Amino acid sequence: MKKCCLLVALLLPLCLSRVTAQSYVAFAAGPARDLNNLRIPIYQAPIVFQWKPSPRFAGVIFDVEASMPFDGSSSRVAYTLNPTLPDQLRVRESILPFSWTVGIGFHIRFRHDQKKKNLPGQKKEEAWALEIYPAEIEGQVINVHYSSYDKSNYDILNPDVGTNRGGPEAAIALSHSVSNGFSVMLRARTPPLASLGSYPLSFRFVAPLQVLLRYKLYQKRRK
Amino acid sequence: MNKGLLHYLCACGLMIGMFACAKRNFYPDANRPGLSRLTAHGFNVVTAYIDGVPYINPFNKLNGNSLPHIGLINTGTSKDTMFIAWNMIPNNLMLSSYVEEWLTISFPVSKNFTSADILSLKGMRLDSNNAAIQLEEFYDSTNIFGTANIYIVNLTISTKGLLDTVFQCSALFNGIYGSDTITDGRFDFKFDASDLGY
Repeated sequence: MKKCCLLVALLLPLCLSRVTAQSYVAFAAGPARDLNNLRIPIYQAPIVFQWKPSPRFAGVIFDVEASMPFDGSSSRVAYTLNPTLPDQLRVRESILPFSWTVGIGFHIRFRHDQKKKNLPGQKKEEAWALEIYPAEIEGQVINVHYSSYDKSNYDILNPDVGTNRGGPEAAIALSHSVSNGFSVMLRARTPPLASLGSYPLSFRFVAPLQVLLRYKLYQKRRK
Repeated sequence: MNKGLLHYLCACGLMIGMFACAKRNFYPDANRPGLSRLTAHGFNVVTAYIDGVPYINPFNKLNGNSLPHIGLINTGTSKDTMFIAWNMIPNNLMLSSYVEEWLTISFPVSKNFTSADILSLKGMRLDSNNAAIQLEEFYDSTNIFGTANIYIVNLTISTKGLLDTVFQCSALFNGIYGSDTITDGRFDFKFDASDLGY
């Protein structure tokens, strides 16, 4: 039963998608905010490459993404037995998640207007589309750094450690084409289906909400 | 196959599986080779350098990490003594021979110390004038004369039941006992209020 549901979920976008769009390659970038660690503000900068093959493939998009961290800080308390030093101090903790994703998605266009602009030969395209990425593989390398402190005298309570894990994940996006080639995309990713290990950490896998500006390079249609 | 035999094999398999579930809960500290991280998760682990060699409480797959002895001693003075004692072995399987040690730390508490006072120990930092340590091959909580420093960095209620309350305690410690030097000690364990004799 579960397998049937999974199969239907995978094939449904294929049935719904409209086979009208041209094939293209696209590049996208923008900021992302992690929604899975609300206590620690973690931000990333994703760079996305997408390829939509010919219309025969009914809205299939191949998606590759790499995300760099640009902020994610918390703090920890360190303690010492040395009576000549303050008994505790706060240490700044930086949580820096790098991630990569490879997978396929489906493009479902549900509103499309093509208006002729004043200049001949130019068209203004307005389209809203839903993009579903049900089958993706994601790897996350989460590095943890502490600001410099006296390691010989102080011990951090419950220190975090870095991790390098990965697994399947999914994403959903809403995109709006604003002009020829350019579109804005709001995309939410789930965290990868994997374990962080047995040692308790103060953070979880990141699940970013991304605001991406995408530029599509359309490939010429064959006559 | 005989159904009885099948049930017996299943029960054996289940028991073996349960026995294999006990976890070491040793997470190495990157800054102190051979010692565990300073944690507050109730891992029941104690590590320290004894004369420069990392020591840890023993582990077996049936019971997990060995638990400490904890108790109160009525001293007949204005204060009583609380003690915590662990069996310790070297945390280095490469050593060809070693001696098991009993590490005992004691410190004064108020005369009418009850389970309600346990949480007041959180944040307590005692120097060598107030805390003592002992390192012997045999467990003996009555003759503690070494000097110790102890800092209880975390003490919280882990679970509160109808009959008993379980506490989680984390601390740093060091000390000198005769010619032995104990450094960079840290523990993280759970104990019942009933362990103190309430």
